[in-house]
Amino acid sequence: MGNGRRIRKFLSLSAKVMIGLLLIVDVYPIIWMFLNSFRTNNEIYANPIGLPKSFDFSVFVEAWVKADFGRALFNSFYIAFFQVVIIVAAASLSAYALTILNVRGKNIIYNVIVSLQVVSGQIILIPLFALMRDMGLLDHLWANILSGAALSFPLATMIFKGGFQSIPRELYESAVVDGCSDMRFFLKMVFPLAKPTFSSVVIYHALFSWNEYLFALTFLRSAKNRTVTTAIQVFFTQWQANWTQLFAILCLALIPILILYIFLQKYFIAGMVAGAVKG
Amino acid sequence: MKKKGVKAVIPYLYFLPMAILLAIFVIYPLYSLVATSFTKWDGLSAKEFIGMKNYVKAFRSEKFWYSMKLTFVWTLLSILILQPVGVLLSVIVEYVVKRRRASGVMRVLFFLPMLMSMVAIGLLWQLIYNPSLGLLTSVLSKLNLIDIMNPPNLLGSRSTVLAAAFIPTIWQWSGFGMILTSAAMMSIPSELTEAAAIDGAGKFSQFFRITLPLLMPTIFLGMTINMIGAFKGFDMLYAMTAGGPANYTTLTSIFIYKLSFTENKFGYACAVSVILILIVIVFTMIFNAAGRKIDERFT
Repeated sequence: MGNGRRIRKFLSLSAKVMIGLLLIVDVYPIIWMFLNSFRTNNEIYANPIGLPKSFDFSVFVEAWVKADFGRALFNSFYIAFFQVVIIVAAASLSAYALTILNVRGKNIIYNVIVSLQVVSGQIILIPLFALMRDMGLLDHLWANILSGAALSFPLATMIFKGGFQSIPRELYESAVVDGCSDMRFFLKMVFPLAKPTFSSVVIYHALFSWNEYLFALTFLRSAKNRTVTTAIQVFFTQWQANWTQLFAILCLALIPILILYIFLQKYFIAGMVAGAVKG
Repeated sequence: MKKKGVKAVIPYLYFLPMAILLAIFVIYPLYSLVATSFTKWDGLSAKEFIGMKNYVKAFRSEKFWYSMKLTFVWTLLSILILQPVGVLLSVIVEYVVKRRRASGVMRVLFFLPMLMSMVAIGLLWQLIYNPSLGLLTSVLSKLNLIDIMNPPNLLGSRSTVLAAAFIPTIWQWSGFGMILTSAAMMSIPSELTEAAAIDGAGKFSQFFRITLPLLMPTIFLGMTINMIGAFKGFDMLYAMTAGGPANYTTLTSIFIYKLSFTENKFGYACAVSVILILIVIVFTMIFNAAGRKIDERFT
């Protein structure tokens, strides 16, 4: 009996150690990144893992200025904002027509939209590039906004459709009898009832747009149009040897999302799961 | 009569904004992709129709087949590793760790890498793998596992680069698999496991006989998501290795990008894109069919 207890104690202790190790391996790269952004190049060259001697924030300012990071943040925000507005407006209206309104051929329309999901930005990158050039949109933020929104429609429509399906149709039918217009019903009933779905779509697609790289790399060639992802990548090729600043720019890229995540944790996770499950 | 016709059209207007943007930015490019794949085009001068030559060229090209092989290996690794690691993390967080606060903190920490863009992940791991100053070299040399004077360059040699490049993907996406699994675990009615507990089933058999089967659809869903993500696998690799050294990490997606934007072989690149999307479609159909089977069996 005493032996059994000792074995169990040993097992639980070793489980704790294993979990602790796993956590360290998982989180340490990010901690390393933050710590080293406060250490000088000489300190890093002498010993890549160590604690900073002081917390000097001027390196962040330097990296910010060199990368023109304010501009990159603005561009990323601009793209994400308008993209999400377009996605939410267009996809929610389509999903509304697909679930609640009287439309013939719902299944066909829905299947066409869903089947477009296999098309990724990578597959149609070349014709999109040529199209943007012909439309005069190359090196213009709206090239990314419009193409990114269009490619996100299938998934967003699926998420919205899933959310709207729980709204009882009797509600709509009685509202119509009372003379309520379709648009009014959408704004006054569907939107308030499906708020969680809307927030999932916003979070998922905002995060997706914020982290987008391929279109930013291909369509936005000039320095003034860099987004956060291309700005940090260019920064890495320009300042290869300045490790302190490389760490600092990575931190700068993570901090805005980290702050949002801390405040909106539940919505983040719900949004990611919704996006994945419907995808 | 006419008024009724107009009224029946109105609901279709709700599709209009989406239909216009899809037509311009997805469907037309898709058509253009196929059309261009039968031409020789440098991106600037007029397209010259050459029939199936680009496809023949691809099937005869060693580089193309090598990129396909890499894409296949990368996809297979993604399907087989990412979601199972996520399930493992989820089991640790939800089952092994007893204190709820600790579970909550761990969930947040394991999810943390998901907040970084794949580009940032690629760049950070470039620093981690740096042979002279990287985190890995320092840790391994402090543990006396490697010779500090002659550290391995994991991203620089053919034998290690693919595995080394895949590890950051595990680091990032296992957190996603965990969230997905945990969400599904929470939706399992607790009566089921409680009933099994009353029947004398231990925690172990509760998990394997009740929870795990109920999780199967979710696990498969995670695998499908990782399969689709793997075919895209561009951002992180391009930022970390740019397809190198030589072309040892040039997945088909990177191959296409280089063909078009560094070699100006746009027609050829379009043909390779068409082949890739056909493969993606086949894989997606297989996975969807399998997913339906699994849904039927386990729910």
